[in-house]
Amino acid sequence: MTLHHANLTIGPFSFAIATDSDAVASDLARIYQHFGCRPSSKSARPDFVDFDIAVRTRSPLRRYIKPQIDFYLNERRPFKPLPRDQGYAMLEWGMNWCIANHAHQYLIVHAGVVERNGRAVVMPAVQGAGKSTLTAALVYSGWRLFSDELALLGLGDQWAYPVPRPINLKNESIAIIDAYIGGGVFSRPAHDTSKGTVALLQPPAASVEAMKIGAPVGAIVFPRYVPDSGVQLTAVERAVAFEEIIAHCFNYHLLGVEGFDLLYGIISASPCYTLEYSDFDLARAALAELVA
Amino acid sequence: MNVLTRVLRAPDELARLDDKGFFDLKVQADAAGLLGRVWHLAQRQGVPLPGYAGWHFSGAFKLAARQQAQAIREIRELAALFDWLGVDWVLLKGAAYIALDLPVAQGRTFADIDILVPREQLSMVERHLHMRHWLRTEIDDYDDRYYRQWMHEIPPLRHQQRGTVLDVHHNILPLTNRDVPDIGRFDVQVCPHRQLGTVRALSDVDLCIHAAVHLFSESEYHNGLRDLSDLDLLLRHFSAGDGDFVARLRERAALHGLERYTDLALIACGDVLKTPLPSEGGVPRRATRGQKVLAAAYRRIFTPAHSRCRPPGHGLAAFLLYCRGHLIRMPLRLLVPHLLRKAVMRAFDGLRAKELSRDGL
Repeated sequence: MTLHHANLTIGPFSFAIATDSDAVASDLARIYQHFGCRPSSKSARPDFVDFDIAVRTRSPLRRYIKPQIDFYLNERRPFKPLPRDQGYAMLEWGMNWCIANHAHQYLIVHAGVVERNGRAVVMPAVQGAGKSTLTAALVYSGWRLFSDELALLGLGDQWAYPVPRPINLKNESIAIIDAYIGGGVFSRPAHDTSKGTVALLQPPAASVEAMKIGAPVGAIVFPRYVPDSGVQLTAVERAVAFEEIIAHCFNYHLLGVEGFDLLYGIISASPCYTLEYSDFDLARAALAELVA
Repeated sequence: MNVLTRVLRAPDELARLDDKGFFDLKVQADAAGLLGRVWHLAQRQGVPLPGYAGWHFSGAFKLAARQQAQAIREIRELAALFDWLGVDWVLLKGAAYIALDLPVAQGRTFADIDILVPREQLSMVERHLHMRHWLRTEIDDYDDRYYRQWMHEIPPLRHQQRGTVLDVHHNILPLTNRDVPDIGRFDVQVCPHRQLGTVRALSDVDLCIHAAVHLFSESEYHNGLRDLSDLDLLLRHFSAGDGDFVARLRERAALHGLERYTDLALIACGDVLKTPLPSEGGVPRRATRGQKVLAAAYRRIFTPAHSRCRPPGHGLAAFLLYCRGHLIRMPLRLLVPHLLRKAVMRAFDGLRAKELSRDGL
């Protein structure tokens, strides 16, 4: 059994990843191709990394009967183990967890973020609203990917910062996006997870190349997939949007006044909308107007 | 010597670290629960941390600050209740450090609020706490009785809505410990606090004695280095304004009959964290053979909980201190039946869990 090592820098964060799973290593190599990620048994950890993580099979005994896999950060296991074939999905969740639980130099919002014309559109939404799906459709047709899950808002400058991680697609979204973008690179799907079937979509090469370049927030849009709605963009009162966005924050309460001032600044300067959509092209055109 | 211990001894060390040093420091401080404290030490020392590493420490500091703001809210409610009941309440440990605004509180994360009340008022206090949503946590009847009969505190209470855990004590050592002190002889200080009005805590000396007794009567040391660093910061803080502080501490500990804990604490602080102690009346001049063995064990235990800094002999030291902790907690005639019962119950629970999982529940 070999241990694969990979070093990754994604936006402002660096990861050192170790895994004893060949499947996880091959998914890593495929999905992070544009990051120059080549997992090998030899690559050494850089002197400093933000997150030293591992995804490893639970115990030699469990290797053959119902094999399970664990996520480690600094030798500790923050989660319960998962079935081995969910290893890569677990790694991606774990990396999101690392960011959302530690990077308190940002206000972190559960939101998709995309950029066009040098302005970021922040799209906060609950699980299942179609935020990742819309993000995937946008970034494979001209927009730049910041994130499909984590909006990083700088406490100093109120800018959004990219962390262009793979896009997490669930169930029917996988086939829909595959058909829409034509020939995307996906991880092998993990079945029967707590969210159903999950597959990760490679981030576009251009977004990876520009991953250190932030942008001011141009608009806040609460997206929701509604069958047969075409597209419907409705302005939201600022006070309502303020309250709504707080509900989607990971660390608003931890930041206290800092978080309030940041959101107040952003919401005062950016228009807020709800977006109901069922058609990607129409949605894209409506959003393009906001940052024209 | 691991880099975290070097920094705790002399925060100036931070200015000399390279990338590798900061990586090790971050990993070790995370394992020891000391990220926020390192940030505080860096700020106090005026050593700027490089941005790429600094946010790991400042993030933990922000988390601790948030917890403390919440703790102050809880303390305000509790203080109002106890004042209304006319109970002589005293804040202990982390809650006291926050209420007294001591440097040791800066960046320190903590799990629960500890409070001391007179034993004869305990059941009245508990009843009123129940009425205000502080409820008993999941605990079986045996454990409940064990706490009430032998321990120095009642089983932890959890706030139904906010989840805060409250430990209500009536002494600082289990009643079965042969050194259990007369709690009435501990001095209380009443201090003004800008948000809390007045707060009640043990006097500076007795507060340090409690910290020492608590740490050196433990049997498990998951946060050992963090707790020792607490003691180190307390001693440094109080000694800075009072050269006789350590001497007074030893004198008072002897009065309480608790000097064997404070002696161990002073030896370990000097050994591991190089706490400056006066040459006269500081560390016990001649350590006994028992103290030497224990000091050697503690040197191995007070290290970051990470495989890369576990010294040789760590496992043996942990076992030795585990046994010692249990032996001083209660005499063998109580301890043996208790541990046997615990072992049987655990085996029984394991079996039951296996049965449930086989039934697919």
